[in-house]
Amino acid sequence: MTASGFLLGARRRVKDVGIQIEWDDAALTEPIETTLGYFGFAPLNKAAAAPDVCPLRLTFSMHEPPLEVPSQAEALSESPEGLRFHRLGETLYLHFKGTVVRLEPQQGTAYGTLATEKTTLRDALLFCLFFYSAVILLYYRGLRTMHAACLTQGDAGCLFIGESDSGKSTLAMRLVESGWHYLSDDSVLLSREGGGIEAYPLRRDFCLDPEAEAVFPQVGAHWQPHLADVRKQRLSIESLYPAQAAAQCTVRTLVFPRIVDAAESRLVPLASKEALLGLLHHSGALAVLDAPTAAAHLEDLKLLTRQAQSYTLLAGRDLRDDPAAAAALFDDVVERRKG
Amino acid sequence: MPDVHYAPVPDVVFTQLDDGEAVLLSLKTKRYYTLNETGTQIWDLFKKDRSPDEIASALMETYDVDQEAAREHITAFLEDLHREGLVQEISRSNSTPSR
Repeated sequence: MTASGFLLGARRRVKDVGIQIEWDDAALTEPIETTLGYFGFAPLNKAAAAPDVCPLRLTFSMHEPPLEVPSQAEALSESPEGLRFHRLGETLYLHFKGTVVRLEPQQGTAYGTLATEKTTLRDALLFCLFFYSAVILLYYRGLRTMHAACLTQGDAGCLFIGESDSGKSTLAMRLVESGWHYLSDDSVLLSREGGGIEAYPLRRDFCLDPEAEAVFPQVGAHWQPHLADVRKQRLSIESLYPAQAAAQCTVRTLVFPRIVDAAESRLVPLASKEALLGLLHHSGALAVLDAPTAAAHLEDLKLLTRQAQSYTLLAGRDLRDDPAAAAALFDDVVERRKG
Repeated sequence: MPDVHYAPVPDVVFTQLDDGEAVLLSLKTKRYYTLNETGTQIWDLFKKDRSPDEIASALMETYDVDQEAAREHITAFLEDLHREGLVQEISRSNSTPSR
């Protein structure tokens, strides 16, 4: 039995932060285990049982009385999936169609009651709730999430920051094909260490449109269904390119890709200020953080723009059509960085 | 009529950049703003609770501007910040924030 009295649980690690996850219905086991695997949360061994090893706790119930968002809570923002965020004092609430998660970021806890028994909705919902709950709690432990692909040459990382459908995954696949190592095609954790910013993978699996198989025929045998976005397929990149998985990197290049109607791609240098504004634009979590945590996050982003060269990538058709184009463009960036 | 003074809104985050400019981020509106060097200097002194006259004196040391012009610039700047919800009014008589 877990500390909360729930019968089912798992312990995982994100970088050096332990997370305890608990639930009270066997129907949640498979989606939770799948979600944990999807994010690459490493198992903690049974010997690591002391409470301080797991400063974060996520608890999900299908049988406890449903939580409600207090009427006096302030509405903050809404995620692309439709989850709504509210704040009352230091407590945050995530709300979606009757399902509510209550987060106490300072204590490192999230507790949620799931309102639906419909499998597909429940699993997708659980995935989103877990993701946003974990992300917010990790922010308060100094691990910042960035919606970005991260590829590496040696220990130097290139972050590609952009919205969904900005071409990050296609670009990441092209670079991996060319021998680059990868952290993620979509989400990384940033951590301030030794005076600089290091990146770690948050989600390992790549997510591509099914049509990507026409461009990357090698992926066909490695598809898996995506839990939350029915438009996309998950690619087990580690089964396809196992030797190219990177554990971490020092970010040396920031790239903001934008798809343009052009035959050839171009990199346009960006000043640090423009890069910082670009990073702010893609830091959706700032909307739900308290002022001290947001201020610390802003300082981390500023440090990132100091330690990295920044570019806008005007992404032309060559990156999609020419397998060698991406490497030719970014190998040059890495070489210039070394110079 | 009490003099109108301003104070930063608590959920505004500020960071200064290497080139002397700065970024303000409102956690309430999710908007961010860039300040040029003059705006950054005004904000920095404003945060330290300097009066408009003290800020004007500092601007006069940096720029070729007289007291009146400096005060007008500072007043206009603070009114802009107030419109954007980055500062709030405080009346001299009771120090109660009002918007």
